[in-house]
Amino acid sequence: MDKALRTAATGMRAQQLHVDTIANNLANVNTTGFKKNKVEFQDLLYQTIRPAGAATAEGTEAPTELQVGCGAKPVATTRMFTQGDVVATGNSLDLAIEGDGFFQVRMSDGTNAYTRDGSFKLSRDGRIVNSDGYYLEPEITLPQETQSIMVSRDGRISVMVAGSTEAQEIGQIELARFINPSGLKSIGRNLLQVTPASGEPIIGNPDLEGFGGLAQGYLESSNVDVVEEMVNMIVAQRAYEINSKTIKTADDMMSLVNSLKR
Amino acid sequence: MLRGMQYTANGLENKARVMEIIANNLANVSSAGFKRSAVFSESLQNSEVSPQTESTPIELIDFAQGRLQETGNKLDLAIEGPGFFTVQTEQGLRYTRQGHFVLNPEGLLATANGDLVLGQSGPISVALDSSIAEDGSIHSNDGVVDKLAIVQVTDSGQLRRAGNGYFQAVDDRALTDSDASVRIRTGFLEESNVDALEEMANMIDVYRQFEANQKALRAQDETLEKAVNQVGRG
Repeated sequence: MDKALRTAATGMRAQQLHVDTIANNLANVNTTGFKKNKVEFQDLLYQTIRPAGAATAEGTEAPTELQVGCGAKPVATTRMFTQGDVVATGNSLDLAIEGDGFFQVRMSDGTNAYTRDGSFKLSRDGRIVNSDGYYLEPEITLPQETQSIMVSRDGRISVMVAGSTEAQEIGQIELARFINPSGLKSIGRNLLQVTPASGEPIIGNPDLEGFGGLAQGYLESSNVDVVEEMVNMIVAQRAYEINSKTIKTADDMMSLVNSLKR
Repeated sequence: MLRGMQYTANGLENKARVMEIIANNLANVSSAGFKRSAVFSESLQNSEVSPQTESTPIELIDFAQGRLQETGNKLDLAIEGPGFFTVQTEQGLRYTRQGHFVLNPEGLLATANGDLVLGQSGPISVALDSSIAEDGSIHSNDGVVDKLAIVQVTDSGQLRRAGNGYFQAVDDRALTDSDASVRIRTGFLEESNVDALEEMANMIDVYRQFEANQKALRAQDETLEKAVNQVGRG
């Protein structure tokens, strides 16, 4: 009976993580380029009480075995890379990716991180950086006296410089794609890192060979759907409650056993 | 009298076992690809010597289809119809309905536990342009490269649980290749087939049976007490 108690406890722990994940999704409902998380669960190991082929009281062989499981465990949290809504901001350095791909930014330790958050800024020396000041990779420096910036759908950046009537092309934004983007590791600040599970990045130009196109003056909002998360929260809460009922019932049964001996 | 108590105690033990199985079903209400355990009690035996022989609950795995939930993830696969993915683990071949797959460091398709998912010609390597068709065949730019090894069992009693979402074949001869009725849905996961409502009803049922057995045991105890302490006192 205390096995039922422990089994229900694993179920409650799993549902707790479920609620934790939903809470994080809901907290990021307005985070630019945020991708929602989902938890996957699995059953735990089984204890064989009576193996198949064991002799029964009637002298026959049991055709099936009696296995009792030990509960559930969370096995993975997966990021869901569905497209978020694209929202107009009018800012010329706000870029949204419509389709597959990630912007690459260079971290201070020299490695690259990947993000769908396209709210770029200019650094003091005219280079394009993300909100945390990490350089966009490949690096693009805007000439001084730049008056306006144009980013085409395929990632070419051209600028209008004061005193000139012709736009001049100064760089090309490259995107990265992964075979298994759900394998990327979140490091916070809207950034993702390569892991063995995600595979090596495949670099290419936007709007070509399966890469998404860029939209200038737009940002991709979070793909968290509040209604869906609320429904998930109800489901998780009820599942939590059900497991607590199991504990209560198992406890009541033990109390019955206890009261056998007066 | 003492034999009667023994039977009742046996009943209590069995009900407790059933409760453990229901607890496991309920704990796995959110486990993708989980199949619930259905419990039956062996029919009571009637004979002149013993009104009831020792009975143990019979557990069967209920392989009913779970609902498909859309995830939009390219490596989430759900099986519609009977059938199991074949997985290579350190302990040997295992079968699963849990289709939440990832890439391992070598670029091969693996389960969330890191075990390789097998195709007709061994482990499956997945590239950026790979796609999986409804019949389980894996397409790349060069055409069909492999096909998922989906197996079916002729007798579902030939599968036992191995934990971690896996099943194990008791006898490999019970396994056959899948027929055309099996469809693979990409971007979907099969939900657990546990129905919380049904399990709660079962739990109430087993609790009351347990209670009844407990009452019966107490009644016998009280009768026995009378026999021991009051009979023959005059």
